[in-house]
Amino acid sequence: MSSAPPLDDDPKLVARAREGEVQAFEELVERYRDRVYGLALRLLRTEADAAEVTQETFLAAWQSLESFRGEAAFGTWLQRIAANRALMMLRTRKVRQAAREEIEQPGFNEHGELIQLPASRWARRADERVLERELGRAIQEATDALPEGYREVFLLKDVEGLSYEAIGELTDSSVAAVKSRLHRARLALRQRIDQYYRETSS
Amino acid sequence: MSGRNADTPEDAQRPERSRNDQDMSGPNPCQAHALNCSCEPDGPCTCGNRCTCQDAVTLLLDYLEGELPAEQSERLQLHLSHCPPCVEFVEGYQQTPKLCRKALEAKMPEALSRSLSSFLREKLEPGSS
Repeated sequence: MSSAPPLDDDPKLVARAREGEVQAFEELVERYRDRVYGLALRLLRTEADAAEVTQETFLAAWQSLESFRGEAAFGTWLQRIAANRALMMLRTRKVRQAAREEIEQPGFNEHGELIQLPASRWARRADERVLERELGRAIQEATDALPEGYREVFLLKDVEGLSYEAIGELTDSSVAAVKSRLHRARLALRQRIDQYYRETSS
Repeated sequence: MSGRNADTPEDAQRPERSRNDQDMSGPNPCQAHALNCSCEPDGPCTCGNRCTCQDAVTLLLDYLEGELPAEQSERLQLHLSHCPPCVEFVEGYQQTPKLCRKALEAKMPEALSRSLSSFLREKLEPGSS
């Protein structure tokens, strides 16, 4: 949700929705539907679960609009509700997680040097290019394979843009633990992307 | 992250990507202190601990967020200035979240959007629970 800035007239719509105007709330739903659904889908991986969490999120938002004081943007408030619901569902769906226990990290020799040099300079061109379908798939699989705890932190921070403190509260962890997991998750994903470019350039 | 351990023929053919043509056999080729060394910061590093790529990678997140103590940050910066592969590694690390955001974009399918609308309409109408 970090990518799109809040729309200027969100507060007006929120105010009208708080007065009970369903149409104003429906407009907010229209604005934030994809972002809430995207967050839920990334965390939960199935459309059905993501749709359920999206419904729950908007219903909960409607029912607790009174408690929304407008200190944060409406989108941020909604995001916290969605993340909380998705994480709760995730805890009840643990069986379905196919994640590995181990997290892949860069290897170093006895001198502390990287065993494998970074592949051709992919990072310098990454911004300009459309993401190759194969790479997209590789990233999705690598994200899915992150061990429990790491995946959630990575998604909430780097994809959804939540603060360390918010993620700490949601996952019941210290900020230091959140940062450590984020770092390791990023290293694993960088590794996977690097591997992709290594394979495709050879 | 030196090119010394070229493990593929391709790596071996990329001399420009190895550490700056420095003698890797002596102590501390990047002239930077190991992050955990206790030598005088202004003098040469004599303790044998190198400022390694592993140090740099380990501390990368805090470094990029400006959370490292100034002295550590300077040492790491010095290491980067002598180690092109590490610079490339850092760039990849910084691009990783952006690529992942692109790869993980999702829109709610039409059919699910319609069910969401009818679900909410039913729940939000005055008089409904």
